[in-house]
Amino acid sequence: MEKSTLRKADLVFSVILIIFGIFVAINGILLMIEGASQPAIKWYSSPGLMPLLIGFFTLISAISLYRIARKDGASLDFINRENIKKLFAEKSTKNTLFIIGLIGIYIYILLQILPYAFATFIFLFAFIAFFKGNTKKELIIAVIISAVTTALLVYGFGSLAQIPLP
Amino acid sequence: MTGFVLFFQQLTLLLTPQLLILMLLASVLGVTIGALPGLTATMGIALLTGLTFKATEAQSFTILIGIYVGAIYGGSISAILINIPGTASAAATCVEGHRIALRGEARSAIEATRTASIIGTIIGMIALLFIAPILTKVALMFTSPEYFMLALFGVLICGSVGTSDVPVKGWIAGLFGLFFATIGQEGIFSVQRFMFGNSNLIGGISLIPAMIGFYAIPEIIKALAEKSKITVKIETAGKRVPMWPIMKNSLRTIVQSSLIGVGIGALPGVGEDVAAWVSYSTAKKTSKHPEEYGKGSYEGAIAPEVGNNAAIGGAIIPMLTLAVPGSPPTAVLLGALMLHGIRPGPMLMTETPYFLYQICALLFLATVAMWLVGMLIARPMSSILKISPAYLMPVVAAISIIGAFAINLTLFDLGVVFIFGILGYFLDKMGYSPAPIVIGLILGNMIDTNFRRTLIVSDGSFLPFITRPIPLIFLAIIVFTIVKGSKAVKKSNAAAQ
Repeated sequence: MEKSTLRKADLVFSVILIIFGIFVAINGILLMIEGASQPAIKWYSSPGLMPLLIGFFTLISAISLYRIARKDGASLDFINRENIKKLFAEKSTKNTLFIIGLIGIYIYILLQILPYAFATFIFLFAFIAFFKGNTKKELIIAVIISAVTTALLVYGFGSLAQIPLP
Repeated sequence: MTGFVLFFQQLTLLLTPQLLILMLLASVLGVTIGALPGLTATMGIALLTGLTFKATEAQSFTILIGIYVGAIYGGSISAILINIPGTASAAATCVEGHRIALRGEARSAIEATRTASIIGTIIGMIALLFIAPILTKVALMFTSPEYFMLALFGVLICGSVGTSDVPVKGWIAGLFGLFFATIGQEGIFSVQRFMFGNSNLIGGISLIPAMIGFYAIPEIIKALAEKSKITVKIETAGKRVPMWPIMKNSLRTIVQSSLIGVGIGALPGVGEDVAAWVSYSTAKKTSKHPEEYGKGSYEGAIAPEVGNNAAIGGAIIPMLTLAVPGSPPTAVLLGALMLHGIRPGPMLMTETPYFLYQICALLFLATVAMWLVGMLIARPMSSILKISPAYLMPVVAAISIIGAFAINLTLFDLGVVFIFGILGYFLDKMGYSPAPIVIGLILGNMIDTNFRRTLIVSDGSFLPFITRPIPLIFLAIIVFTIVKGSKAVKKSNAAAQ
């Protein structure tokens, strides 16, 4: 990532981190208040102490990151419709979203409703065909690799290692 | 001497045909994983931990150590042949190794780095054999303040060296890890934290699925989304340069890099990557022929390979004696130890006294296997490196997912892989290394419970952290690291202005 783009990302992320730091610290304080009602739990032994410290130091670090990004010239005005459109039009973004989406579908849908072998074959074939499935020959290779890998995984985990499959 | 006797005893026990074949296969797999850009030693160990956890302890660790040693060496093959480090620890090898290959001496460069890796691993193993038992005795004196400071030092130092951008990103990554470690039921009063009503989180976030997420998924996305095309232009045949004079002339560098490797490896969370770069830069600074550096110096290619392989033994020292991993691969190994019911830490030599020597013997066998496999696989490796990521990465994804499921047999862990994978990818894009997050996740409970235990014992007083010598030393180093890091942040602010 280019430094200017990186700093823009840092700026957005530092804002998220500030919110996250406050959230963790508040939860830490709430846990400390909750613990104060029990005589065995003192402020220094409270389960909320570590979250409070983590939240506090995250906040400090996030502010430091925000300042670095601002001083490097980053500002939040780059977030507009045009730039978002441009980002989603990039091939690398589309590829990234496809991979994330496919892994998500495999975990949350295919493995939940289909037997492991079918789900894995579909996942592998879709994955390979998306990136290398332009010709008939490539599609046949994708089918072969998907079938062989699925068979090896089912045999290796299910039969050989005796691990129950999802 | 007793150490050597026990080492040979364990070595004899491991010399069974089944384990030797397993070691050879693991070494082939390790070298291949290491050589293929995008597949790392940590990922390889994480995937195989899931696959082997039902095997016997000896079988599991034969495979895991074989993968570890093989992968750290394997990274140098692609570094030399295609100028892309197969693993991050081989990045320093690219500088000189690829230039040697461009001269038509690829075969000799691979031979030199193989010999260097063998020497490095053996020296690391010897250090483990002798230092670990002593450190275990020292660790017996450790109480809560010592453990707290040691673990905090581990997260902080890993954060400080584990980022390529501003140091604050390393610390943020460490804090992320510490936060993830607080999820679940805490260890002193059994209070539930950040569970949001999800009972799957009661035992905290599962380490191996989280590590598979952090190390495998981002590499899969990067390899395919950014479509880096690998081209192998250099032949593995080519001219052959006599090895003996090269090694003889590099003797001083070998000794120096071994010591650096063991020392840096033993630092919590730092690991092989840093060991390789420090070995290379020190070799360059102290060389009698600095003019050869940058032009394909054999000494310069040997130094990082000795350093990163010596760091393996070094990184196992704190993992076994203090339960604090010295590098990301040992962080996964630590998880594997726990899965097999071995409790690392000061009691290791009392509860499972054979285990340290078993690991040393396995390191020795893995070195022999690496030597054999390295000789056989160097030539076909140029073909293996041509495998398209479009075929390779979907297979890695499927193995990652079933590997994560195999540990606890719960679909919830697959969600952990998915979420941590996405998080790992975006954090990686923004310059955050996964190592401090993982080290924070592992050491978070140690930090939390030992911090509060110290305060409970001292009735809320912070004095035990500054009145005891070991915590005080760690505190001094922590303060020094923070001050140095803050100065770097200020410097980058000033440069920006």
